[in-house]
Amino acid sequence: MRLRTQLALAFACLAIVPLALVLPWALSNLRRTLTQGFDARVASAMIAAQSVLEQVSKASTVGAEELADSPALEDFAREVHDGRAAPSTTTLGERLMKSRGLSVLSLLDSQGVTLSSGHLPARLGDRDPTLFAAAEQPPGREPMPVMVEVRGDAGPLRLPALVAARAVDYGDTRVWVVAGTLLDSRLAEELSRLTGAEVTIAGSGSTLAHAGAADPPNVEKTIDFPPIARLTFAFSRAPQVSAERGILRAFVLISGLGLLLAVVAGWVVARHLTRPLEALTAATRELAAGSLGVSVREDSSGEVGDLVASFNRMSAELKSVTERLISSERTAAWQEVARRLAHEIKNPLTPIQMSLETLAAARGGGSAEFDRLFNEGVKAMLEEVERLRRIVDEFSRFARLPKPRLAAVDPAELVRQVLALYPARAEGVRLKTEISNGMTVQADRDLLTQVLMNLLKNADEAIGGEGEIAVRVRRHPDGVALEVQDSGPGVPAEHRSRVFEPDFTTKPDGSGLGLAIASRICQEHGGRLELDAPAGGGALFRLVLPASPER
Amino acid sequence: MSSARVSIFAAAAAFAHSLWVQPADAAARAKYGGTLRIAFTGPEAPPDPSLADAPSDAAMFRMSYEGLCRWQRGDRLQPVLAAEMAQAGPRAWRISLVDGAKMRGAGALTAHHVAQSWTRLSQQATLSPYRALLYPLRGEGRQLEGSVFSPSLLELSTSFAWPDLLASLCHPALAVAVPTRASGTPTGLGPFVSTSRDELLEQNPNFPLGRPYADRLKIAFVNGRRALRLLSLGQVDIVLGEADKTASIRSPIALYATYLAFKPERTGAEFRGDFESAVDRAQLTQFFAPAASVPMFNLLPPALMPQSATAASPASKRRASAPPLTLLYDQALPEQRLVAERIQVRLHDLGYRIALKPVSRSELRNRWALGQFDLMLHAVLMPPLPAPALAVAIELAGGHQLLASELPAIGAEPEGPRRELKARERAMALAAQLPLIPLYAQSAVLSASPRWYLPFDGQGLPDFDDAFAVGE
Repeated sequence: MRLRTQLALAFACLAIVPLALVLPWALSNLRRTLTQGFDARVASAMIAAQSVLEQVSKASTVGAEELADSPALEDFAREVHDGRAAPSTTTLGERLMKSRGLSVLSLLDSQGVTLSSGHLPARLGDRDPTLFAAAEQPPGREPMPVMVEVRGDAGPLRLPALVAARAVDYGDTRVWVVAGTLLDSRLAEELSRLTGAEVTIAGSGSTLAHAGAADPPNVEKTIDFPPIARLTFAFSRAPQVSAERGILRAFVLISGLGLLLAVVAGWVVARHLTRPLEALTAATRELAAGSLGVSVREDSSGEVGDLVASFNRMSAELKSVTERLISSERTAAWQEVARRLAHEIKNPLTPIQMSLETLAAARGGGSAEFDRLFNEGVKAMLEEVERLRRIVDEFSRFARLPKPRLAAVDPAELVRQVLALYPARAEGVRLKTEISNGMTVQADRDLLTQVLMNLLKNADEAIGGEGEIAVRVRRHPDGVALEVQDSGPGVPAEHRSRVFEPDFTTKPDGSGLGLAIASRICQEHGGRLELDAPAGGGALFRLVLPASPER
Repeated sequence: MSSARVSIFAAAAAFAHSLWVQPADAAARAKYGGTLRIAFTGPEAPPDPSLADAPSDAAMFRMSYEGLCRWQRGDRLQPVLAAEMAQAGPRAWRISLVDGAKMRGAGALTAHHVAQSWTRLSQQATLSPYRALLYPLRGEGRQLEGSVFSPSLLELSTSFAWPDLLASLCHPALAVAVPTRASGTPTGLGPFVSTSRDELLEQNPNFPLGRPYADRLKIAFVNGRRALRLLSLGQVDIVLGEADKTASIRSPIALYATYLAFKPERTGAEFRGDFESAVDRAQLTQFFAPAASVPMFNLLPPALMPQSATAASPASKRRASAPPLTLLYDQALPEQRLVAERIQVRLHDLGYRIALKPVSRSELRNRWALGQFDLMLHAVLMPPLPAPALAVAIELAGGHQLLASELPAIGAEPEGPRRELKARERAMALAAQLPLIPLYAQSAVLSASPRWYLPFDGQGLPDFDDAFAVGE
């Protein structure tokens, strides 16, 4: 991973880690605070609801007491006592009930028969044992929860109510005033409005009234009026959850922004820090590729500036040392060539000298053999001169190896052409080809042909007319590989490091320049010539050339 | 309802009647003039005499609309718009109209106007149970134009013997009401005529029975409590439809009959029995029906037929699967709501689920005509004779086809008492067959200032043309 990336990631981590550490703690605290606030609100709402229900209860008691003391009930009791059925009896209960803000009012006789009903006038004349039970309670008791019949769309509905009863006496006639408040949808709506909760009044296994709405999740509280009704308050925690989510979202957003800023800052800082290092890396690569004397602009300070300066000094020294080394090597090479040349020239000179001395001795001694010796001596000297000429030609050619004229060459096509030109082989030679198509190299076609011919000739000589020569063209990690493998005896390990030297040969009449020239041609193409020893024996010469960019 | 209770109400009616005998005796001192101030407590009724389903509505109509004749107390038939009503043959009647009677906005009264008014009762859009009153006429009274022989002459013939035809024709629902082009309100010919001010009616100097005593009627549409308050303050003289404790009077005859019509195919066959076991008519009239009501146990009101309270039905079992029903009632009649609720509650105890639906009177009549109801409270003004009343009851029960067999048999009795007896017998016999449960009969009730004398006619409706201010 690049340093710049590492630095950017490091900055990102520095930004995210504190947030990641703080977030759970902050959320936990927030949740606790919100929960405490929610609990307080629920408790407050339930107190308010209890207060409303107490008021309802009190209103029932007060309503019953006020009605019992009212002149209207006194008149009504008198009419009942006198046995007069007032025409207004039917509507009396409803009128009195509405005037007192009650929702339940029944006037019962001493037998529990309804004399007038405000909540269900149609019950007039019927016994109402439920409300009469409230009347029979001991005095001073709290209002009693009962199920009361009220008007409904398709007949009477039974709803819970809190009722209180008071007696009105006229002579020996007793009229019961049973007043109360329904625990109905109106109360549910009032409680819902007051508490902000979804209020459900249930009784007899079914929902009797419902008001408000509370989105889940909910917290439920109940107030029971055993055995007839239960008020359920559902407080929505949705706002709290929403607040938590909102804050979490804000945290995530801030974290994201922080992360982004950290990455950008890290990238900018890393870019500033790594620019000289990257320049150093590039210069090092150039240096490694042979560009001696490459230097890096010294616009950094501190340790990096020192590093750049050291590199530049090192590069300069390396160039100087390399130049000296090259000069030494060139001198050594020329010495070697001179030595070799002297050696090669010296060898023919001895026979020539001996031939001349023999001829001179024969002429001086007037040998009858002179003519024969002359002819043999001339022949031997001509042979040695020819040999000298050939040596000189070889060296001359080695010295005058032309610069390659590069052009796009299809190696597969080139190899096929070389194989076609290659002279007819002995019957025992098997030629095997594995040629991949579709590759291109920049090369001098003639020089490359010369190298391949040289390699094929060597292989042919190595197998001695009996064996297998394999020629391959394939892709190589460094470009394109052209391989010539033979099944001959191979190159002994101790000779492998020297086969490309100009004066090395194992052949009796070899000049030792063939592979040296081939290797030099490869180098001139930016490639290399390698010798490998396959597992199955023989020698493998691999010519590796850089591939041209694909068109 | 016991017979004792019936006698109590009869005694009360007689007592009320006696109270007004004294002013009647004082009629010698009757004087013309004055404005009779009337407070009307109900909603304004539809402009159609055949929809006057409450006594106060009929009383209001009586001010401006009149029929050929009027049924007066003492079973006396008094021609009003008819100059002469004579029997021309065993089944033929010849009716000549008064001359010179003009209707505001519709010109002189003609026989065409009469025929047009009556024909409306048989037309689909305005179908009325009162069409049974015209059933004995040829063609069931649907082609009355053929009976008009001149603008002032109407010659009627019946399909069978029907001696009570003229009494039937005096029914207020057969009052002449002629639609005018100027306004949607039909015009008529009554003792009073409307003026440019809606609340004011002037006396009609051309009224065939002569000029009314009062110069004008001033109508105030107010609620009941306000009306009684205005009466106590002396700001109105008559309150229609509201009974006051001290100034309440009621007509001596209760002919407004309220029935519960039902569809047996919707309610189930046990409905009548369930109703009888659940609903006590005595309680119904004591607490829920209008003040001037009497229980009605038979198909005809107590005024037309002695009531024989059926023995209390055994308590019915609670129905586990009673169908949901809807009870229609007249939204203009508050007492019908109380009655409907009582029926709803009592039948609920037997497992019935009955929704209540108040509807306008015209819709109520329309639903009746189309048969589109489960249960319906329906009030009608019965004629004062049993035979025509039975015809109306049968029609109300949807038994129009039954009229063809029932009415000729009754009309075949030439003697009045025997015919009435026959009608009552048939009423008894048909009561269990018709999908109609009689509930109560109601008379007109009003509260009046002692400064005014107001008599009632034989139909039980107030005669405003005979009302006069009592002298000092």
